[in-house]
This record gives sequence, C-alpha cells and structure tokens, in this order.
Amino acid sequence: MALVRVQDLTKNFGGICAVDHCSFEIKEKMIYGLIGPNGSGKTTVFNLITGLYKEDGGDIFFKGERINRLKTHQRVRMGLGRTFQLVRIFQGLKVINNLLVPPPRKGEKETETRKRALNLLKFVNLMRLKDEYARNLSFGQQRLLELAIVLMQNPDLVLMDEPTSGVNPAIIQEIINHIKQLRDGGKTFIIVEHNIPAIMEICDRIIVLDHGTKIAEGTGNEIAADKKVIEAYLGGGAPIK
Amino acid sequence: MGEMDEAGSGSRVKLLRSQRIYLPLLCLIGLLVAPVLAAGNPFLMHVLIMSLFYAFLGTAWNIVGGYVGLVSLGHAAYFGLGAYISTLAFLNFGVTPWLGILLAAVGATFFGFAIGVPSIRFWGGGAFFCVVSIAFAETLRLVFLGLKIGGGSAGTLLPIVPSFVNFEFESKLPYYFIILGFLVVELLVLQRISVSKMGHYLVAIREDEVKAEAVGIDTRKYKLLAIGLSAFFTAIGGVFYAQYVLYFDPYTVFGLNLSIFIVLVATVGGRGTILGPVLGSFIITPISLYSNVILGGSTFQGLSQVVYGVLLILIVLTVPAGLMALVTKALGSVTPSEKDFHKGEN
Repeated sequence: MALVRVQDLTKNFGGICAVDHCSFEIKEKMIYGLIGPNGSGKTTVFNLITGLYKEDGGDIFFKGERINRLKTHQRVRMGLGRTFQLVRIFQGLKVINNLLVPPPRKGEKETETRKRALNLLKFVNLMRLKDEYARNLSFGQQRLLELAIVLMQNPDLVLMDEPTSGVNPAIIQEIINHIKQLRDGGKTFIIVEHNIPAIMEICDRIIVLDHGTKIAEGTGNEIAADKKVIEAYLGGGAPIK
Repeated sequence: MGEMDEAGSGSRVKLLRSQRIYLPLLCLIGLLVAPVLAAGNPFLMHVLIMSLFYAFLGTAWNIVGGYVGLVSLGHAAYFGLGAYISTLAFLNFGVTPWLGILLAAVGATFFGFAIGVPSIRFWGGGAFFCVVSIAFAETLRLVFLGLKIGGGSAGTLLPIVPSFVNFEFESKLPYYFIILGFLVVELLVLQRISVSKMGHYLVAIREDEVKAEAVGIDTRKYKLLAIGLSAFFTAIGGVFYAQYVLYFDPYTVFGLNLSIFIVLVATVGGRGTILGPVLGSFIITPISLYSNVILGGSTFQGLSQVVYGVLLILIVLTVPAGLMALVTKALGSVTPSEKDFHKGEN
C-alpha cells in the first residue's frame, strides 16, 4: 500500500492554476524527488499535503486515510513532517529548546524527551551549539536544526522543501548523508529540489511536475532521458545531467 | 577548564534560582508593608491600589498579547462586561459581587471565545484580531449606551452599603489587600502556565505560528485558550473596579483609553514576561496619577498629558523590550521566552 496517494489534486490562485489534477503515489521507505521548473507547483503540492493550503479539488490519502479535512497539526500527529523553503525555526529560542517545542510522544516522560532531543542534536552535529540561540546559527546549521526539529516529531514521511538551497557543499553532503541514513532506518522522504546532482544522488524515484501536473516519474536515469522533462526544463535543448 | 565552567554554570543556576524565589518574595513583602507607609495618606493608598489594579489588568492582557503575540486593543470589552455583569446581578437579583466575579469571568470568557473563534478561524488572528477587538469593545459601548443598559450614559451607581458580602468597605485598606490577593493568584497561575506545555506552545506560536502548527501544535486551540483566560482575569478586574469606584458608565469601562492603558502597562514593563506588567504598572500608573494631580490644574490644561506622554516615549525609546529586560539583564538571567523552557530554574 502506498504511504501517500495524491489523486486529481487541484489548486487555483485566482486565475492561475498552480496544481492541475495532479496524481501520484509515494511508497514507504523510499526517497522521492519532486522536481520541475519554477512555478510548476512543487511547493504548492507540499502545502496541500501538509494542510497549509486547502485544495480546490482532488484527494490526499496518508496511510490509507483521506486527510483532506484534517488540520496541519492533525496531519503532523499522524506522522507527517516537513521543512520549509525558507528555513523556519524558532529563532528566539535556544537550539535545544527548538527541539523541545513539538508535542511529546504519548506517555513520554520529560527526561526521555530531552534525551531524544540531545541524541538528535548529536545526529545532526549541533550538540556543541545546543545552548546557542537559533538565530545565531549559520544558514546551513539552521537547515540541520530544522531537520532535527522535524525528526523530534518522529514522522513516517518527511517533506523537505529545497533542503540544500543556500547551503555550502560540506553541509549539503551532510544533509544528503542524513537523509540516506534515515531512509535506511525506515523513513520516507519527498524532496523538492533544484539541485539536480543532489536529487540524482539520493532519490530512489523522481516525480516531475510542469504547470501543476505530473509529466514524468521514474528513476534518475529514466527522468534524465525523458523527452517531456527535457522540454519542460530546457525547451527541448540539452539533456539533464 | 571544563570543570570550572561547569562549576561556574552550576553556581549561576543556583543564583538564578535563589533570585527567582527571593526577588518576588521581597516584592511581596514590600507590597504587604506598603499600606503601613501609606497610612494617613489616602491618595498614596489610591495610587498603590490603582498600581496593583493595572498590574492585574496588564498581566491578564499579557497572556494573549505578550505570550501569544495577539495584540488586542479592545480588552476594555471584557473589563466592561465584568463590571456590568456583576453589578447588574447585584442590583437586580441581589447576587453578591463575590459570586458576581465568577459570573462575570465566565461571561467574559464566553465573549472572548465569541470574538476569538471567528477572527482566528477565518483570518488567523494578527492585525484582524486587533481590529476586531477594538470593534467589539466599541460595539459594546454603543450597545450599552443605546439600549440604556445599567442606566446608559447616566452610568451605574452602586448603593453604598459597606459590608464584606457586598464587597464594599469604608476604608481603602481591604481593597488594597483584595487586589493584591487577586494579582498574586493571577501571577501564580501565569507562572504555572509558563512552565507547562501550554506555556511552551504559546511561546512557540508567538515565535512562528506556521512552524508551530507544522510541528503538531493546535495553534487555534491554544490561542483561544489564551484569549479565554485573558478575558477571564480582565473581567475580574472589571468587577473590582466597579466595587472600588462604585460608579461607572460605558465611556469609562468600554473606552479605548482603558484598553490602551492596559497595553501600555504590559509593553512598558515587558511583554511576555511574568513580572513585566507589574513593573510597568508601578512605573506608569503613579506617573499618570501624579502628573494629573500636580499639573492638572486650570493654569496649564493638558500639560499633565504632555509630560506623561513624553515620559512614556522616553521609556519606550530607551528600553523597547520593556523595563523587565533591564532587570533581567542586571540579574544576568536568561531572556523571558527562554526561561519558560527551564522548568527547574524558573
């Protein structure tokens, strides 16, 4: 069974159709790339899946349950986590306290939550900065912190919006390694990304959107050779590398 | 070196803990002794009572304006409702104001939800909440005037029958201790909330509401709870005012001036801090009252307001984060939003 099933999803902003009868499925324990030219509706799809936008049509299923009517926090509690295109962390709080904001697991003691937070900080190599204010972290470190906050929620599915954007190559590699490790640990990812080499490196499958609709899906090599994709990106020029 | 840091950090935590226990305790002792110093000076006693009273209102506003970051400029609505509900219940049905407090608080909480639900559900709060809060207070003022509720523009006069049951006293001293008691209870409730999960969520919502929702916090629910609690306490303030002054009208209890003064108390003292509104009130309430007395004569009409305004501008410009920030800095403590997460240290 698919972890996520998006069916005929549609979203209009005034006269602009941002997502147009878009359908796709996400299987468990895999990393999916969601790519497409600017304005193809990738972030809008994320906002629809997470409930930040209300869809104009279509259905979203998560773990087999239709979640259209659920609010964002309810979807999050079902196991859906996300990061944002522009990093969103609690800037005025210390790093460790950023991780203590998400509601704890049912029955979890405060000391256990704190221990889990510290382990996650170790995982993303931010332990030495745990008492620093989040706003003082570099952009790349803030990205890592955002990932750690999402992981505190223990999600089954993580949606990451341009996780490598504005980040130096060393941290990009760090983020990629974390994602792979987490996938191997059983988590599922959907990643919106313009960094094609990074997408090619980590994604098991790639879904390509153009004008709000899915135009292709496949492995990295299949996508790179797909004529529709090449046309959408380059207007029919050189192949994607 | 590491050990020295650990030791230093440990003693600092001990110092912070002792400061957090002893400072409020010292303040409380000071407030318990203050009436003795003010004995024989009714005006000074009045200033003290009003300072505690506005500290109480500022603290109530702080729950929603400081902790959640929802700016309400219409808190007079809950205040006025509190004053009217309790007084009308007393005048028409003989309900003691002590019970009236409960009726008023519950009634105002209900109205708080009534204004909060649509403005948060449909518009998410923010600027819209601010505008709706003003509109709500103004509408109530006009309704009470137009329908002549409680005497309309002529106002409501409580009969002077001093007794504990009637919440009326011959001297100011009982009023002083009652409002002090109310304030202490309110501060204790706020302190408990600030170290609870709810407190953490409120701070998270203020920091970044979208992010807070995205980590699984039911932001609407917690914003509404904050509005309800704030309205609850503000209405209690309204009942106290009615019983203390024994006369009020819709202009006074629903007026924008009152709403703004409540916001000023919290802002000058320090939004989102537990003791900020108390500090703010004990600074600006005496300034306001004394400037009126000293400069409020007919020779320089309006000069008191000019002096008061200039002083406020100076305070806000010099310490935009509120006077509490100066105190916390002087004590080397953590910032307000941070301390909410340090349960053991708060």
